[in-house]
Amino acid sequence: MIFREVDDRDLVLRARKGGVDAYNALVSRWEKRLFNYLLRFTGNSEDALDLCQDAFLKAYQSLARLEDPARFGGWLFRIAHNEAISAIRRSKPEVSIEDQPPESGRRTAPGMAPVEVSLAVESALAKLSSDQREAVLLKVYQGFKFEEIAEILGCPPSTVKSRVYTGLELLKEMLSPAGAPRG
Amino acid sequence: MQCHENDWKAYLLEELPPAERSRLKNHLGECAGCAAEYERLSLTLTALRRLPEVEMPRRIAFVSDPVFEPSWWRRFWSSAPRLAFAGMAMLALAIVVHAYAPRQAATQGVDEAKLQAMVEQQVQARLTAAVDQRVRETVLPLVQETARKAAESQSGAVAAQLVAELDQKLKSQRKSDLATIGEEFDLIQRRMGMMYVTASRQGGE
Repeated sequence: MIFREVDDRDLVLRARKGGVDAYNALVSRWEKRLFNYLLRFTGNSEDALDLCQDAFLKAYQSLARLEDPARFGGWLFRIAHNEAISAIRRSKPEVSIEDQPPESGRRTAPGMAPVEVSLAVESALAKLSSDQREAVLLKVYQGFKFEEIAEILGCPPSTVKSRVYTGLELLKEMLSPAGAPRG
Repeated sequence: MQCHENDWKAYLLEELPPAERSRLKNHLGECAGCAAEYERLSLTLTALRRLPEVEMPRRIAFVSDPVFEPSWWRRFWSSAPRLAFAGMAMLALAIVVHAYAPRQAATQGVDEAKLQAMVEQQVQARLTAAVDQRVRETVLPLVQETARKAAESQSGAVAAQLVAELDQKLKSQRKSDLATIGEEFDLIQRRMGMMYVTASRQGGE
């Protein structure tokens, strides 16, 4: 992790001087993670790819404004988050971002195939509110700290923690195998 | 039932400091309620993490095209050192302008009324000095002489004659003084005219 952050810093500094190759190295490093975050946030592969490209282009054009080059990842995710929120508002101005239609859920079971588990997880994630889902995605799948997520989402760490905890509690109820030990 | 003071979500999400993490790890084997909560959360996270990462439909790559590069003003405004340099340059320019502008303004600001007032002040000063000088040189000695003669004669007729003589002398002196003052004033008027022409030339440059 430390080595990766140092590398990011070097690549950002080189990209700032016009090194397109250095920026492409940053893109290669982060594009899959960013795409998967956007895919799970928007639920649409084409939208996720477009948002991913827009986020990288915007980041490239604003690279000089990045205060700490070592924190390129969090800064990129913040740009992507803002782009995604704007896109959702543009596409569905009458629907609140909080109001995501729930899908039918299913519980995981010890004998379930990987595909079934994936479907159950996707279904359970879709039942969370947009804020909870995004906080869980950034925490569980991207491994950001609460403080980093707070910077990405532009809200206090306590709010992030609350969203993650509530989301996990709901996911636990939806995904825990029936008959699992309860406290 | 789990112990509510134990934050198992923070434990599994690796948000606890090492000391607290170690305490919870030791507690896990002693409390069935906490072990059950830990187990359920752990299974939930395991299920979440089994969601596979999706490959991108297309890779993203940038080419060296000026279209995609930030514009010069965007780079400029985003660069603190450049902004600082620009600020210093503006400040230096403002100082130079400020240093030059007052001199121009002062030169251009000499108007006729101001010049007239200045000349009148000089005339007044010169007149006062000239009259004082004349009084010291002529009038005072005459008064002193008259007083001395009056004291010597002790006679009213002589005194009246002396006063009449003095009056005549003063009148002639006054004519002479007025002529002198007229010459002085004429000289000053000419100087004023020269100063006005000079000031107008400087203001026009």
